Amino acid sequence: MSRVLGQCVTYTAFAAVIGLLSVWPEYRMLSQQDAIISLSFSHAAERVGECRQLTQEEMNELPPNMRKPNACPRERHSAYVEVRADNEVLFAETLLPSGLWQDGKINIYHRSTLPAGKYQLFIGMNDSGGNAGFDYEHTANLQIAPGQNLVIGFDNLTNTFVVE
Amino acid sequence: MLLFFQKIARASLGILHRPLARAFGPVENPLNHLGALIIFFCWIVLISGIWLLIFFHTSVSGAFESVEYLTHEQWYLGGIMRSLHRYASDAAILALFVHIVKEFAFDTYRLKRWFSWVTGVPLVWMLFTLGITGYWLVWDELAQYVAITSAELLDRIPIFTDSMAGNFLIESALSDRFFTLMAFLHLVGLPIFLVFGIWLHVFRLSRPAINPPRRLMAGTLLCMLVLSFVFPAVSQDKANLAQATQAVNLDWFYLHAYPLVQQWSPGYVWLLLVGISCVICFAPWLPPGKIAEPAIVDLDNCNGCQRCADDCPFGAIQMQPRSDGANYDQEAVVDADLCTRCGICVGACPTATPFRTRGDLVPGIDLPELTAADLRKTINSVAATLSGDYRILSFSCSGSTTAATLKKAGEAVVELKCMGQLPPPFLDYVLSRDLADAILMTGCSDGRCRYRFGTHWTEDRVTRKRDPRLRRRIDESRICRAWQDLPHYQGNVQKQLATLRASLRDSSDSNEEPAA
Repeated sequence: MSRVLGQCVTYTAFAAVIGLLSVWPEYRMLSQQDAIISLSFSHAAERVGECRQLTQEEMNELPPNMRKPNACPRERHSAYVEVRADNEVLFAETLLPSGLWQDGKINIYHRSTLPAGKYQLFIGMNDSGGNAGFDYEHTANLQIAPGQNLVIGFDNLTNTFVVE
Repeated sequence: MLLFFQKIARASLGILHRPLARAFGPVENPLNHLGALIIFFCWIVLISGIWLLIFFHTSVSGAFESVEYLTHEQWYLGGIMRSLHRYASDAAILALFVHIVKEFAFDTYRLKRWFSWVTGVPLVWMLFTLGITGYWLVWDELAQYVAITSAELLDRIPIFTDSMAGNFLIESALSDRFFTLMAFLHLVGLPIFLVFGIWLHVFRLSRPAINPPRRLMAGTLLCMLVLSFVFPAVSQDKANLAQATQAVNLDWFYLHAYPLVQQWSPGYVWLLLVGISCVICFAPWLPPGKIAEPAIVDLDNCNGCQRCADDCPFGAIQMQPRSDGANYDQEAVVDADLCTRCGICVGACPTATPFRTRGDLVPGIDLPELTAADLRKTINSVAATLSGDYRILSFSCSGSTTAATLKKAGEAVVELKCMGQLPPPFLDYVLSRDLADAILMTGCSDGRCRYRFGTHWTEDRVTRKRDPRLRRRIDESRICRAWQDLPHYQGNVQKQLATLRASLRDSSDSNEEPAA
């Protein structure tokens, strides 16, 4: 009888541990009044130098399958990206192009938490290696709701920032 | 440091072990079947998963609805299957955790056992990945959190060019194809690797326990069925990528590391997880490891009877055609890489008899660390210290805590590598040569034996169920076996000694009465 009782207690404790820890305690990763701004896009920055047109002699020296009229440097500039909400900097980083030759795209994924409310959002990107200002920028006045997931992307066809 | 943690782990397991041994007995004690229980839980997960698969839609739009249908419309079967699927998965992780702690606590991951230990590490990763991808498929708020956090973790590995986490920010960016990939991983890819991994994990063990006792299986299944009815698994709200997940009811068995991704960073979480895995992988070679000589075969005394090969818990002994021209078919050959130096083979050898008078005591197979001749010498010297009316000689395995307890109490103890190392003729030797009035055999309980079958084989040999058997002339009442949770074990070892002394006294009194 004591063995049966012992087994019942064991199985009940086992079920309680399994049942409880499978859903409890609740994990809160965001306060009820906060929202998230996600910055996520890929972009190929400008090349480090201008393309140059090859002369006919230079073309003749190349194998037939590699004859292109232009010779472009492979490497690309790093890109500086900045996101501000009412002058509070949410993200400001210089990103290197991917690839061993630094000839790929830059990839950004960043999440910032901020309290819900009205904000003037500024996004800027400098991808040409120049020191003066941004090559692309976007400003928007937004009302961000609690729990909202605001996504900032970049449309590489129109070269504009997209806020969704 | 390591010894300190092992001591804590042993003490913690001891707290669990005692009530469980009392409730379930030695054969069905869940702590003695942890590996088999994990496999049993995987079976439940597999069977319930097949039912869920029949109704599951592998698409972004259909996944949540199909799971909701199973949970609410078909609650009597689909809902129960879903709950069983979750709870059995959680139970597998719980059993896995205790399994790892137990192997660590009793130092059963070194020497030849490194293989099972190290191959267990990818199994843990696979089991966690299976659970995480399973939560992903439900596509509720928890799945959204799991998807984004997992993608953030994967993005930290510098092999992906585009950000995977970016796919889980906008509904339109999420494709059914990705969902199909996850479903394939969860339903086919990982389970195949898991089965192969389990096979590899037990590959070097002889007689691996694949199934737990039937009553234990029935009990745990019934327990989880009741839990599924009382507290069915349900989804959280449907995933909505436009909304950030604010709070989730995490399954802490599988997702306990996920909050760290937000609290620290994905890089640190990888560092932690990979670091722990590396430490576990290298643990078998960390100090204080001791490498003793493996068992050696003496062909002059080996008659090729095969008992050592049958009893070796790790398949380290193979029988091969005779190489010395002796008139026997086979000879035992020890694979040093597989030998754990437990001496169970010596206990099985019929030539390991202390009564031998001609020549040296060299059995067919012997353990250089503690040879049969050394053992006889030790018995003689320890028995010489016995005095008084009721002389009890104790045998104990060195891995057992009882050896230290007995020594502290001033008892005469002969320590062996494992109780399975003690050939039954040595018991006969002690009693028939009047070296002691009674014998106490104590050590790890069955299922907790450091060398797996040491206690089990010894119990069978003494009770004359297994060769080499104890001779009939021995009065069994003078041999007390105190494995820690066998039914006849009444309490701690001192109590057992007191009981044995009392029984000797009673028997002596009853012998004297007729004369009076």
